[in-house]
Amino acid sequence: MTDSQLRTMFEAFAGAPTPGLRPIRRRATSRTLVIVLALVAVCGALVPASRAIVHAFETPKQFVSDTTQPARARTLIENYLAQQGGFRRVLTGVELELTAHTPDGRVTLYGLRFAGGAIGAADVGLGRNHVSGLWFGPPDACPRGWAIQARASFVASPGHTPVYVEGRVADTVAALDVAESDGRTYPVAIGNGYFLAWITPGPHAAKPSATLIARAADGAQIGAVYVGQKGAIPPSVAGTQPGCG
Amino acid sequence: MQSERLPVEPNDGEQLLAELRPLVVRTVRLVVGAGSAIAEDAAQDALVELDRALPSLRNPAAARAFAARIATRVAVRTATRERRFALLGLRANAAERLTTVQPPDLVELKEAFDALPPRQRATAVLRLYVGLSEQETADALGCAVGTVKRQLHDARAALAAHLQEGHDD
Repeated sequence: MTDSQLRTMFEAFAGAPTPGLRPIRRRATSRTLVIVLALVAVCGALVPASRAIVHAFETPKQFVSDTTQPARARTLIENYLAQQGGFRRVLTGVELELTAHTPDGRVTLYGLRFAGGAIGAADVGLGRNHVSGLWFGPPDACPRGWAIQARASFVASPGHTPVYVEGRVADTVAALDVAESDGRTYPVAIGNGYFLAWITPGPHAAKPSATLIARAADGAQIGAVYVGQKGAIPPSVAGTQPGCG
Repeated sequence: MQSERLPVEPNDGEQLLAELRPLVVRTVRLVVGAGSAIAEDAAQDALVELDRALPSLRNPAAARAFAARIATRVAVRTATRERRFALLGLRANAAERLTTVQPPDLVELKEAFDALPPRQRATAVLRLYVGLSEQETADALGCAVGTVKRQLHDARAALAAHLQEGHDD
């Protein structure tokens, strides 16, 4: 390769002394790239919000950055992500399932998906006294034919604050009631196959207990789970495994 | 009262711009890639920048180097951007190429040259086509003389390797 060859090539391709004219048309510039990136960023912000509206699962990262979700919920998931690994399963999806108005204020329940097919839920209270919690386990913890699976329960101050019970309900369940030992009954919040029940402390506060009764659309009882003292869930009246009914 | 009609002559700036236009247009064209419509646009942009910058020219003797510096800046900027877009798959330059009738060996050399990094192209054009000295080329590119030497050496080596590779195939 010699300089003279290059000079010859330059002379051959240098062209006319004035720039060629051509029809003006828009072409991509750096500014175009900036605009496109900005649009992508806006879409990225909107998509998680739209997913929350249509009850689609968000990835944990999307959920944590989704400003339409309550800060407490995002913090709960963020804390779980920071600790996952080891015995903690890898969280892969989060979805808003239901919102309930409890004695401790509004509580939202999020369905969770984990690597390996496990499921779970996180309940997040927006009131002052509610203690947020999270559970996970195999997708079907009960034998075939179950109507209700009570998967977790907790109480912040036994005898003083409500006992919360949550889990899954089958598609056949149209309504879920709490029947307390003193005869009081009230409905339970259900949505998207999940339920969140609370048993309020009453005159029987020393031994709060209740039965969760699952009903079909015609009102017939199709399952029941007994919730014992301090939220303990002993073997159910209908089956041999705790929390199945 | 007698009125006098003064002849309209191009001022010094316009005349200088007209003199420098071929240098600017061809420099930009060669660096960006002769035959592409984008090179013609870039040449227009360079002329506009030169027109704006000419009032700041203090030494008329350095006009060629001054114009070459502006042309190179616009050309390298455009070539770098086009290279980035091409890497991202946002350009279909082949469709914009104008047909040229040149000997095959020159076309092959040009294609190899167009594949060089923009600053190597600019160095080669400034040194071998515009005829700037190494120091003037370094000033135009904003780099050291040693860098100019290295860029030119690398350009020659890359072209030789490219052409050798083509002949081996």
